[in-house]
Amino acid sequence: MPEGIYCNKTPITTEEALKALLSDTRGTKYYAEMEQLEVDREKLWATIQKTFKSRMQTWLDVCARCGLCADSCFLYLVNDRNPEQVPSYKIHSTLGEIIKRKGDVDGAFMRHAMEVAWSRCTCCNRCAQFCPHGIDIGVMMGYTRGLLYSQGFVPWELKIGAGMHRVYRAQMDVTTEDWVETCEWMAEEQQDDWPGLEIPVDKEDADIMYTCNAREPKHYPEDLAEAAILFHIAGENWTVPSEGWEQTSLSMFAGDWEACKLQVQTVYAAIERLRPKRVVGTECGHAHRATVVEGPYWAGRPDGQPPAPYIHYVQWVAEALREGKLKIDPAKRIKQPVTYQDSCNYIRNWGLAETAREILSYIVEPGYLVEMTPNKEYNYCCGGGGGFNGIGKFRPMRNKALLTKRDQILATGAKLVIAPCHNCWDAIRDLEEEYHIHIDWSFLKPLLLKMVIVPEHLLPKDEDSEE
Amino acid sequence: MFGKIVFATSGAPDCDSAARVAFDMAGRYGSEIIVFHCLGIPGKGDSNLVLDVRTGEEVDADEEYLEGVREELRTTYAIQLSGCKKAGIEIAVGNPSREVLRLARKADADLIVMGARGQGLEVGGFYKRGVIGGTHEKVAKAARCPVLTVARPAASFWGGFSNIVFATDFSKASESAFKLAEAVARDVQGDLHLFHCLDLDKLQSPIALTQEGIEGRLAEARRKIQVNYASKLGELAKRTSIEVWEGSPYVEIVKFARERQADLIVMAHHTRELDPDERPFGSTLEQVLVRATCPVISINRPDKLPQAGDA
Repeated sequence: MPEGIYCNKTPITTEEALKALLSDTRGTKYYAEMEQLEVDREKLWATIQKTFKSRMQTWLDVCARCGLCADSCFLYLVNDRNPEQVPSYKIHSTLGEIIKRKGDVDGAFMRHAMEVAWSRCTCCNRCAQFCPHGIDIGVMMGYTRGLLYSQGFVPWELKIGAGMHRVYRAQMDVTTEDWVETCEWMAEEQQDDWPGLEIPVDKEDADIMYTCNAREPKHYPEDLAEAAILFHIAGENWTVPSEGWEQTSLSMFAGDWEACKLQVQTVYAAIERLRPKRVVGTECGHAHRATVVEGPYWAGRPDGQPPAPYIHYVQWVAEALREGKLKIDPAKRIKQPVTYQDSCNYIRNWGLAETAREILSYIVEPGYLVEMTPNKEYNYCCGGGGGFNGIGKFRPMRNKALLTKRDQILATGAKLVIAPCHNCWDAIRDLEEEYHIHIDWSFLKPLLLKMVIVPEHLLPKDEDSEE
Repeated sequence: MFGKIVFATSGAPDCDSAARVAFDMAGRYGSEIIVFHCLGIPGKGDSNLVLDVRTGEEVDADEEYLEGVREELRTTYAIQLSGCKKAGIEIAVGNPSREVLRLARKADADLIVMGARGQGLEVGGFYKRGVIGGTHEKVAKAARCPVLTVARPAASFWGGFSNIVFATDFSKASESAFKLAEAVARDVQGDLHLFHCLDLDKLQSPIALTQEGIEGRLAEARRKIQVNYASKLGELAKRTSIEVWEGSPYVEIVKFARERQADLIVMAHHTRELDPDERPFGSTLEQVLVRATCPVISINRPDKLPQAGDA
């Protein structure tokens, strides 16, 4: 069978196709069809010839398979040092093999490559820090995912995820109407406690345009409310766009580069339309990577930059604390052992480790921050990065991958993990559900709201109780 | 009186008492009723898995499963639904409190009725079982319309509401609750009991705790009830009593309601602090919900106040 009804090389572009794929519970039919899916070898090789550029060619050529990357990979360590989990082996046995064979590979090989690309690598890029040649296997694995996606060999959930971006320009079925309604709803819900609070939509020339993760309006709209309250307290002139508000990119996890471009262009169009001085993204690691780090290249931005300065939420928080826009009540600082989860995508790939520590110096009582080992740029992936969290087929492998983070957290003795990244937050929550280690986890926003000093003029005027 | 009622239920027997009240009210007032069930937050990353209320197992929230849940709700409430003029079943996947609020807003509901939490979700210690939980807390705080909670079998509800206790702390939110209590009392031609409890826990100082001091405050509170509420009741004042006690508010409210054989308690819920660490035993409302033998209805805002007799 060249292509199946559910599993094929055609991207999802309509709501109808999306719903049809969603109706295939756990992708049962999808994966059954994948068993028969044929590789379009000519197209695969043509794609490689067009896109496999000198950097990756050099990396593959110079990799001496010395194995120095082995111990850097948490998946290698957690899987009993299985040689098949050595990063260089993972890439040579997949991408390297496709190149060597000039694209002459069969379906069985591609299914194996899919398993390696999505269940044995989270594209966390940690191995690149330990390679004597500076080879970044995470980047190459991302490229491999793109090849696999173009041939239809992609996990069911990520085909859906990429389709969501194509159909809704969001990783979930949140329409423009749903989003604007959620903004109104959240503003209304907060007005008793925060008189004058607004969530301004499509305000032109604001100081800040805020973008978020579709999971927030879909399931946790209070996250949007919390962002609004903190901007309100800080006195920011801000807005959200009615379209182009979704900053994440499951299509990046899927390797659907066309969808990545479509998604990021929507955000950039909003920036160009509303002309904010700068953009602040929510507490999400991969969203930052997709829209700020890699997005400009997908969108073909000549300067390699988004249309306006674009910062991660931890940068805005650190700045607000530093400049006194947000003031912390010292009595309310965290006075229990607490640890910080460094997200690969804005720490390792964007260098915000010290910015994050600066925030901690304001909100944690000295002596109560217990760092994980290793930490900052050398921290391990949460265990669920790169789409690993959401793929049912690879759940057992993902659950095993969580053990590294579990042991890191347990070793700190901390009962609270601060994780300003949706993916890390999800992985740590699932880790608690899976292994019951009795910890809490939190984004920055709710913590800040508990301890920020609210200026007198922002408090509600009515007195609740006269007693 | 309540044009559209959202009945949020787990579908488990824990919600039977709430169901009885919800459907009875819908029948009595000719209201449209929406039976709402939330499947719980998708538990695992970006997947479609949710926890099944009955089994506690992970299931796929696909169309087939959703239809199965709808069918079960239809069967569970078949008799009650058949007696309703207009009824519907809605299902959502997500954070329960959020989804109840989302639906109430979308449907422009006039009343939300909730039961106690289902056991399937409550495999926990005493604290979790004994306290209504975050869902009620969040819904009661944020809803624009009244929220009626039935945590225990409502023994005296057989004949409808007739004996209503309004508990106030004189807050602004309590003004809305008073208007609701008044509207209900007029509508059902029942008796209204205006009640305040002087919170002794808040007066823990040797000076404030003199008996004269307490009695002075009790007299002052009684005067305030007279001025703020009773004087506005007109005819209804004849069926109204005023009482002010001292102690811990939730204990006294429950005791007072029991003494008056109340079949409805009306109060505001305006707690700003939702952090359970700050408030380990819950708000006054939450404690009243757990302990009262009759339904409790709360409202904080004037937006969706029912008018007596407009059904």
